[in-house]
Amino acid sequence: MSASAPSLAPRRPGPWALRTDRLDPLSAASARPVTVTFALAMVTLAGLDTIVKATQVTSVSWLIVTMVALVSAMALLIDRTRVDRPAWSRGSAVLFHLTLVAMMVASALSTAGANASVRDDWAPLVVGFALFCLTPYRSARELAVWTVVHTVVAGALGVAQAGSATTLLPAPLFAISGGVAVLIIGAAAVAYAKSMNTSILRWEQRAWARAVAVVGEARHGVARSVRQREISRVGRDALPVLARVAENDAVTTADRDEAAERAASIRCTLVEAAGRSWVRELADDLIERRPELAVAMTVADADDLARSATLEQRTLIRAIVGAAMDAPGTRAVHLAITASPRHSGPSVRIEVRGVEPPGVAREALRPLIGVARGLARHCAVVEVHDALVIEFAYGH
Amino acid sequence: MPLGLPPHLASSTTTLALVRAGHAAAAASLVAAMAVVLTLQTTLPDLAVWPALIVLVPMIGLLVLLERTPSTFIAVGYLLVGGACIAWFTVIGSAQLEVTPRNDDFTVGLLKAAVILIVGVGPGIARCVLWTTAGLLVAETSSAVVIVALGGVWGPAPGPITLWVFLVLGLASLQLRRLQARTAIPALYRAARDEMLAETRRGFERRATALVHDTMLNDLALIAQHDEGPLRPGIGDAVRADLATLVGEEWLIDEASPSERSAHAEFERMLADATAGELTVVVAGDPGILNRVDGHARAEFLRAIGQALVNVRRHAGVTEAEVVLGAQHDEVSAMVVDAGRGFDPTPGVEGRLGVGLSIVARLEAIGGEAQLWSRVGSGTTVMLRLPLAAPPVSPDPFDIDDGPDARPQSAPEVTA
Repeated sequence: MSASAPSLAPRRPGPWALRTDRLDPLSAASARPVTVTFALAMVTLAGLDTIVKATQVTSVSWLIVTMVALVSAMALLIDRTRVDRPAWSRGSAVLFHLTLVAMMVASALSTAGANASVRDDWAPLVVGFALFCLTPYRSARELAVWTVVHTVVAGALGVAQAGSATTLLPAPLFAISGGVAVLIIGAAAVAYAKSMNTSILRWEQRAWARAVAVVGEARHGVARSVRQREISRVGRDALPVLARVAENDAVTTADRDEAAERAASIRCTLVEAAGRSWVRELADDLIERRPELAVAMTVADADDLARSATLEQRTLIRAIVGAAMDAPGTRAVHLAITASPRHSGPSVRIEVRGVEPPGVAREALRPLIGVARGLARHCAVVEVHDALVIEFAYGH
Repeated sequence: MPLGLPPHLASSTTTLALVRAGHAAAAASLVAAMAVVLTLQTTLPDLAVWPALIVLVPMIGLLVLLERTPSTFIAVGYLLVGGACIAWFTVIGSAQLEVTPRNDDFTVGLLKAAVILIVGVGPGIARCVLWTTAGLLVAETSSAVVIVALGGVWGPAPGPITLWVFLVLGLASLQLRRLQARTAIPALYRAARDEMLAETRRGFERRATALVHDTMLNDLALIAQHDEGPLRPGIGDAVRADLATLVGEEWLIDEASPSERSAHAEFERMLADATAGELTVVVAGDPGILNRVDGHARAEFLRAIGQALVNVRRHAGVTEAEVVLGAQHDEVSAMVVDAGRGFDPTPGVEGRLGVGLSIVARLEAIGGEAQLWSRVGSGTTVMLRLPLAAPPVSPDPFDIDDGPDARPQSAPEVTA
């Protein structure tokens, strides 16, 4: 067949359009502590700077608005980057940036007429660092666009405050000094996001090629194993009667009866094999690999929806369920796949029960929950009575 | 597959990204410095600050070189030119603006930032810290020497030191993130490998199941319905051939090697096996069109046609069927038609095992599709289509061979 050669890796947008948390959710998850530190540091910086330059504040009302906007933006940043929360949506990202714009405007208004040095303002610096904090969660292209927007706003505010400056300089210089902090850190953020995505994409291509090679090497062994098990299992019963008939070139009543009986038996086996769902196969496989664990595993996927999920989606389910079985004290795992009423992909629910509190399993699964957060459209982790429940839905 | 970066690459990749970020930020600083000079020269034409651009241009050039072909030599050159640039800007600013040189001058501060933001010439946290520190030392030393030489009072500027502290802390945080270990990575890799192997196994199991159905089950059904006595012509040979196939290993070979035999010969053999001398088949169209399909896909396509004919022989209650072969530029097709008793084609594994396993799943595995129309008393038509330039059915790597992997088994599309 003249079928075209398929690409090994999943189709991805380029490094400009990709979000790192989708490409490498663990990078985003591991960046979370840094993001929180930055967010708290920015609030602290703003507070200290305001105290030091208290004499420049001309409007307490606008100062309050500024602080409210700052805290709101940072709270949004911390909340939306939580490992167990869904990834940033476009809407919440726009809201975040608009809050930053409002914060810069309010900050300028709070010191209107008394701002001695635009270049020392904390607001553009906070916006710049906020852009950098977004690098794991938003695309390089989006960061570039918002860098330009924030730079223009900061520059315009710099020009607007030129009148109160202690140094007499041409107005365009105030635009530069007002917006340069955002421009410098924003440029760094864009380059960082693009570089990370480029490197990860390159690694991903190599990883796929290597994985395919490994599976290719194991392929013949798997084939022989299947032949040994499947053909032998069904053939054991049917081969004698077939061989006898072929040898005698004749059919007896006993042959007919035995053939009918064997045909019915084999048919049942085939029907059962054809009807096995992916989750059932997964459960059998995981239990077989962990004979030492006394974990009861139940599954539910009436329409075998998991079968039509992508390899990466099934990989994550397998990894989480396997890790749940390995978590300390786990006694039962329930996996259910259902059609998502709101999204195009399936919804996954994993329930883990054990002798330890659910927090133990949660801690053991934390890195993988981070991966789920990056890959799934919706991800929620809750502790219900003595069980840890992980729910996520595909369908990006 | 978002398996993420492996632990041994995570740190170096992040460091490299930080280096690139530093270079981008340095470029922005230099552009801003250039904009300041141009603005001053334009708005205050009596001043002669344009000579500052003379050293700014090579600095930008070296930064571009450092980004494109990073090397220690270029990095050292960038630092030296950067130091000279800082000194030159300080001199020009002092002379033209007639002010006492200061260490916290805005434009000079931009240049200092550009020098400190060299960050490094490649991955490696410790090396990056060293290069950043070297940048700080060059920037401050150059500034201090010129300021003192011009009679000014030098003191440490908070801006460059804050930037240096920020960068070093950022690099240190990368080290901490590395120490945290990406504990999920090994689990994901194991899961991905196991899932791939499970898919491979599933593909072979489906192939084995289809084979058992087409051979052993059909033979047992034939024997169960056979009259007592000598075997009818052809049946004995068919059973012996099936036994040889089952115990052999040919069905394990899934590479799409071109068959030695022509499509005509394979088609004739398929007809002989499927009809077992009990069914007359009228063929319309040229079996030679199947030469356009490679070995394994052709074999599977023929097996699907054969199974449709077996179904006619066993269930339709007629002794005649028609196979219509067709080809377009992008697909080949086969239609198996009988005027038999027909059946209710409601999808269901239990009742339609042969259709599901041996026809639909088989076609799907090679990128084709099967449709079935039937009604009780009105015969049955099975349409099989196989695209010639089939796109990959899924992004799974298993598509690199023709194995029946990675496709969901769905019910046949049926129209009563």
